[in-house]
Amino acid sequence: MINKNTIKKDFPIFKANPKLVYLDSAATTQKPQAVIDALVKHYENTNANIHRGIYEMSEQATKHYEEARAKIARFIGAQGARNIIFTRNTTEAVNLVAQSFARHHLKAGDEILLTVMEHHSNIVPWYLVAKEKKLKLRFVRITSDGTLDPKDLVAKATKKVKLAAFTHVSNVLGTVNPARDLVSFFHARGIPALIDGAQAVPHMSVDVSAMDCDFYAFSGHKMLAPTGIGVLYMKDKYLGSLPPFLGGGEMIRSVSETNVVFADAPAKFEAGTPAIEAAIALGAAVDYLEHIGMKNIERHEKELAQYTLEKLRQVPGVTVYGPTDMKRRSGAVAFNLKGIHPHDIASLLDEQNIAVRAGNHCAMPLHKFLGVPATCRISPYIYNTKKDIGVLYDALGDINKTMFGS
Amino acid sequence: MGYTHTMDINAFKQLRNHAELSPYKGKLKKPDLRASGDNLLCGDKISIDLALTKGKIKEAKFIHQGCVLSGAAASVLLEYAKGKELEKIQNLAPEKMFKLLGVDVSPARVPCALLALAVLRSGKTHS
Repeated sequence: MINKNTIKKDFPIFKANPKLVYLDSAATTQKPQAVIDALVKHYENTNANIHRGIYEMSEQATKHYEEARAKIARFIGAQGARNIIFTRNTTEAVNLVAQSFARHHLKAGDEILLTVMEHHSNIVPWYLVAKEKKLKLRFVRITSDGTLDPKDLVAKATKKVKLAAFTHVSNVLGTVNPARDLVSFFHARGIPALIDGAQAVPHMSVDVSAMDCDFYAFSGHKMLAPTGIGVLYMKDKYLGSLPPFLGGGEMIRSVSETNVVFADAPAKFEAGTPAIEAAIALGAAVDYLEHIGMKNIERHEKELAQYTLEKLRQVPGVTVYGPTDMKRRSGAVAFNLKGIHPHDIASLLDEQNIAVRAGNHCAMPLHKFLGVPATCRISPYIYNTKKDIGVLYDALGDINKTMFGS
Repeated sequence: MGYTHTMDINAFKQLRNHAELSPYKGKLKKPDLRASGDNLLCGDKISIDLALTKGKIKEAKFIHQGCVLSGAAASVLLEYAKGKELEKIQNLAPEKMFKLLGVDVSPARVPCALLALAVLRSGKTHS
């Protein structure tokens, strides 16, 4: 359950900044005390490098790190902890697949199918490998309600497509894509699928086994955990066959002057000392989210999104982007006010302690498609309440009144 | 708690008036220098026309599309530039630009504040 009266107390940032209305959780979330404690506790009590030390503290640190991996595997319905590869973030997870899978398995003329609503982190890694290997990137269009265009999808999912990579939830429009249906659509055509889950895992129950996706990427810092830790879920069939992404310590079994034998996955994909404390804190974030319950979180955010849309529609001169059907959308809402640039709106809201994001939200192709250079985005999370949205609504009203006298 | 603000609504209104009611808005019929540029991240666009006499800026106009900060910056920059040598204006320090604007420019909005100056710097005379 989310106790709307007390949840903010779990987050020290609101104690330090009592007036803060934080509506930029799609960029990064605030951290609960439990996560901060896990981070500090590691450094204070069990700080040692993992997997190598033949002493108790290193074994303790290793145990906590691997427990976090197992917890995350269970949280997203992975077959086992072996399927969970720790990365720095979603971006690195996508790059890993681009380099270890696409670079080795795709050949000149092959196509990678993306969508126009992708974050740059699910475009640029493919662009880099496409340029090197002479692959072609194609983008599924969206309809006027901000959902994928099914006709365009069917037309573009040709035999040339050797990989599909799409976002589970749009970071701008809030659109929730039917991930499970999309994966079976692609699999029926022999196309493996990667899902960018950065905006999904923090907000809803995700079951990668039920979805049957080949790869699933997400970031810790967007789900209450520290920055510097992310996850790539990889299906069993790729764990053994894909070559490593980066080389270094931790990912080898033996090294000679002429040969290297790699460790088994997931270690094979985790070169160098990882963000141990951040991985452990991500485990604590999962505990916190599970304690509240993902279904409760989803319900809370849908309520807030509905309320946000209702209030925004009452603001004169507002344009709201994304689906109107609540079943098809998550909490993030992008909008523009007539006559004021989004950057100016964000600056004026900041004046009233309201943090929103303005710009293209790392989704330039989407903004080009929408025909606007930038938008303002409200992205609430578990600690936001209707009162926060009310403060935003009043502030937008004040801006309109002062600027246009209406 | 390390939480400071960028600009209040009155400063914003002043900037907006600068940007929208600027006497420097428009184009010159025969400019000696015409330069344009944009800020790809937010889509702001500015083009600047200058008429020059012996290297000095005699007349100046701008066309702007975007936020008030980049628009106001263009206006105050041209106001300041009039009568001065182009080379001197092109070498203006960013700090001077912030001072001309007269508002606190937060790090995220530095590109808005400096767009006009960047456009002027990119311009080359026909001679």
